[in-house]
Amino acid sequence: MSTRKKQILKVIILGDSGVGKTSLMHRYVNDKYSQQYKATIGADFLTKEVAIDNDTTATMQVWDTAGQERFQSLGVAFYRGADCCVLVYDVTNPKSFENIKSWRDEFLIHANVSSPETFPFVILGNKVDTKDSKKSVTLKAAQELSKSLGNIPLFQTSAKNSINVDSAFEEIARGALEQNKADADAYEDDFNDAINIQLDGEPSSCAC
Amino acid sequence: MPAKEDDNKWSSHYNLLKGILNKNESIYSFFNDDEKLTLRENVIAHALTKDNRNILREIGQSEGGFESLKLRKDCWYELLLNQLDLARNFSNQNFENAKPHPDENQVHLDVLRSFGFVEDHKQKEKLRSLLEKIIVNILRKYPTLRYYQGYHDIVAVFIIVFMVHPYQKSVCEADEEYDIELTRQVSEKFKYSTHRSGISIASSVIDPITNETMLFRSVEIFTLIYLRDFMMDSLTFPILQTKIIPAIVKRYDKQLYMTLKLDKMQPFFAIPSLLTLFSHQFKPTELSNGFIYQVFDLIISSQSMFISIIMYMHLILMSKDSLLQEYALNAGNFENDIDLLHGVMQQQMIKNITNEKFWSIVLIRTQSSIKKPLKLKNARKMVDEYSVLRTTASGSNHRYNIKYVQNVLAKEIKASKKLDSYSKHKTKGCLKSPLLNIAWQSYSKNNILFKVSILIIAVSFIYKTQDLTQIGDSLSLQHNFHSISKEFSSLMTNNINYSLLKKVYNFFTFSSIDFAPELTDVTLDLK
Repeated sequence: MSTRKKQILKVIILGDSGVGKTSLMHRYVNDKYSQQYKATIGADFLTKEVAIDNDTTATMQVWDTAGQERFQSLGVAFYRGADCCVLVYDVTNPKSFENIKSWRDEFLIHANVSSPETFPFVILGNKVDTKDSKKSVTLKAAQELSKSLGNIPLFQTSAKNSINVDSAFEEIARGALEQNKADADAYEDDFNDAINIQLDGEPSSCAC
Repeated sequence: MPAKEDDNKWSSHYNLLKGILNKNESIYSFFNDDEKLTLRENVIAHALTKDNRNILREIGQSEGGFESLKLRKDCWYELLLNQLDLARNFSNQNFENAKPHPDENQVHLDVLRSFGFVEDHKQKEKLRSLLEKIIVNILRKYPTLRYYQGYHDIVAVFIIVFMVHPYQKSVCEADEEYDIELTRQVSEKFKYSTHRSGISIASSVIDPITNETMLFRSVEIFTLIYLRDFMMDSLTFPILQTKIIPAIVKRYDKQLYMTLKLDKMQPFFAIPSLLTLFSHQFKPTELSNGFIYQVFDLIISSQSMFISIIMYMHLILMSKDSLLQEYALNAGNFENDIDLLHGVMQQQMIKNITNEKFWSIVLIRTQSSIKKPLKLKNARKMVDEYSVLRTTASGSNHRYNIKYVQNVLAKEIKASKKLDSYSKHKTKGCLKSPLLNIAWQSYSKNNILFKVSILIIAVSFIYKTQDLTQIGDSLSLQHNFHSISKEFSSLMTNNINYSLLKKVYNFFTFSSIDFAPELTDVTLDLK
């Protein structure tokens, strides 16, 4: 008769202002794209049911954050309990690419994740639909970065033309699920440890 | 028409309007909606030509506000101009060749995503370039202000009000005349008037004022008087403002406050509404009589930034049932309580966004909250002493001069930086010791606690050294006292009153030792 908590996969999208975080979220959740998205202020979220295997589903909760630096202090409140972090840059904006690492570091500092080395990140290079002449971040540079940060999965996406968005989010869901499971196991271990200590302690308390 | 007859006619109009605003049954039902609107416009137009700001304020704070887009810009301009005297800074609004502001890139990114609701491509481009121009000019004129995402939403509301033709919904060409006689008269007056409250600009020259100039001045004043807190280096001050919301919810509904655990959480959910005065959620023109314009009517005519805070409180109180229901229902759907509260509040906003009736009640309750003022004294203490809530937009009607406001701005920026450096130290872990933490916090808040604790440290130091003097090292210690006291004085020159400093200094230099009376003295002094 346990009231089992619904499985929630919490995903945080980070990246510089204007790289397309909101568009990617809407493309994935609603399969829609609009030129009308406004700048995000604070944090918004959308949810989508994802199939895990044949008969189980989980709810993916995608948290979209504001890109302007001053809003980071709000964002960190929502980092807690994240199962996956998506780092987005704009292939036409080299500055946004350079900042990927600091977004990752910022996340790790504030999210308080159990093991930073294994926490799942995914990098998305968005706006690949733009003309080649406008692209200023090469795929090679991106691959090098993802390798240097510990082989983070990398996708070249377009929220506008729906390129690679679904496959990127499949990877995100996979990573989040694994992390979610690892956290649950760790919790269980802690729980068992606590019980063990109690059991160990009992004879000694009898002894006195 | 002779002036006297005109006045008589007008005063009867005004009395009728008062009857309507007070919902006097017989008057209210006698007129149809069009007639009521005409009556309101007549009274506004007359008040504008006669500089009768009391009546403008009264109408701006009433249900429906300035009602139509036709006269709204003139009302806003008239009221704002009488809240800040820009004096010589007045005419300057061309900063094309001035030094770029570091936030201009962010402005550009946000402007590109604004006016999405305007269908005509050409119009949209025109509005966007105007938006960018205005924001950039404001930032270059006041380079210590920082741009924040959301400021552009507010400026966009001003642009619609000042530049979009109320009927054709197109951007006004330079100085396009309105087709209504009434409006024309009022606009004429503005175009050819000098600054009408005493100080005139280039008094001999008649300066034709374009819509764009009126727009720029209004945004400029609104920014300095109302939005300063949001334009510091960080979000620290706006966050302090949001914290007033749960504090006043608690006063009206403690049960709701406790159930939503508002005591344990930062009210970040309110940030988008507060930073943009609800203009992020409400596109201009979304609701029929522009809910968003009425919010601004209310803010400008009451000269109070408490409006959006009070509105948010009413929003929470009015949504109590559904909030509690959703909160219980979704408890399992979120990772933690912060996410849950934020999620529930956000859904509540989205759910009600098109509910015209709901928002009109929120507005009416906020309007009546101003008439029977909430006890906001404690709320004021929650923000910095230079906050707009305690100075220029505190709800009392006052006209400030630019020098005063610039001075307050400089002090506010300083206070904000100080508070930020405190939190930086805290997150860096330098202030892990709770004692140090308290000390730094008091220091950064310019707190009396800090001054007292320094004193206690000083006194205990003397105790200690007394023992040491007995050991016989008094000379070198004397020397140390001097250097330490110098350090104290340099640390605290800005914060501590001189007599106190002198007393601390006395403690150090004359360690011969009846300090109990001294201490009582100082305590009295502090009081």
